[in-house]
Amino acid sequence: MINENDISLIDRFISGELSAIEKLDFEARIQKDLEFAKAVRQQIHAIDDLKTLGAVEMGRNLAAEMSAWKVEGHKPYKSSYMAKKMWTKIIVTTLVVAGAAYGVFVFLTQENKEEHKNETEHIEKVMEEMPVPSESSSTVPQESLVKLKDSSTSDQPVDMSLNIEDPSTFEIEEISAVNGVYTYKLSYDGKEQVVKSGDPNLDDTLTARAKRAMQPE
Amino acid sequence: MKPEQHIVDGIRTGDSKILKLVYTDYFGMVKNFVNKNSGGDSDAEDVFQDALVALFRKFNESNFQLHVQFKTYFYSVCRNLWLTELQRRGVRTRRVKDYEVYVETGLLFATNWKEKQEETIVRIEKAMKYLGEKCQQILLMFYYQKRTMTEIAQVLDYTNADTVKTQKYKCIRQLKRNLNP
Repeated sequence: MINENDISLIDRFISGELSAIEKLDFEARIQKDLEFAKAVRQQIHAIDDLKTLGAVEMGRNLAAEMSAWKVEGHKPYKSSYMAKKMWTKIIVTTLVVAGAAYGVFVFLTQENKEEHKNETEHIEKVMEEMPVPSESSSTVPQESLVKLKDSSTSDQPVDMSLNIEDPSTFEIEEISAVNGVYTYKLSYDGKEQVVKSGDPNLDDTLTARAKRAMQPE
Repeated sequence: MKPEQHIVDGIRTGDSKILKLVYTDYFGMVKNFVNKNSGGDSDAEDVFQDALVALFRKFNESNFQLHVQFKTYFYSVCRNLWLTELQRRGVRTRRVKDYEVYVETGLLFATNWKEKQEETIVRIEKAMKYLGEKCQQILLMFYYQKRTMTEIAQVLDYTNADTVKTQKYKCIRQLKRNLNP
């Protein structure tokens, strides 16, 4: 016959409250006492069914209570996750914009540097291609040469070394000056040439050039 | 006691005040999730109720421990329930729109759990009907809400815990007879 203590014992077994020794005794009794074994099985099923019923009851009560709660309303919802997402978006956007601005800045700086470099290279190239200025060119004023070029005479004070085949024949025959314009009478390669210039030292310059032309390179 | 243990205890014992607090604080969250993921307001109410019932069952397990914030756990349970329901309805969700952090809770039970256990529910309701109101309360309080004999004695106005113990013995014996005629 199952009594009150047996029911309590089965309850303790179901909820896992028995000690190891009590559990061994309990299991041994199930093996030899069929009535007790049946009571255990029925109690386990009854408690499972009670749990299901409890959940159903809870659902019913909730459905009834929620109707009343709905009237009072609930708190407006603010997503904490969305707020975090929004902050993440703001930070990411800021970083992207800053990164892009930095990228543009670096690109433009690089381009300017490139332009400057090209310009410098171009100037250097032009400088390299330009003939090395001689003493005479530094002393003969460009203005006077232009002026002489434009003059009606056919005498051209261009680079004399180019026109002289034999520099050893070069000589200053005569120098005269009228109103600040110096007239140089030159002779070379068996011919004579008259050159007019505002430079009073052109004779020295031309003689130096002729001497330099005679020296081996 | 953990900061949110009172919510866990309240749900475990079906405390109406706590259940209302959960509704006030978290129904908006559930509604928002369901609405943004192909569901209506009535779906949200069903999910909310089923989630609380699921928690009621879960929290009554003797080894249950809440390791995350209640809000996170509750959102996760609701999310799981609603996605299972969508799957059951054949609604395809390309991408779930989430608004809270969630954790893996496992499927506590599907929203159609009542349909699945219809037979059990009919059987136990029939068996309980013949027990009387007090017996029903004693059994549910003891076996489901895990209340002590002393607590039951106070709630149901019995003289002491021993009286409840004797009464409970009679009730469970009768229930077993009703379930196994």
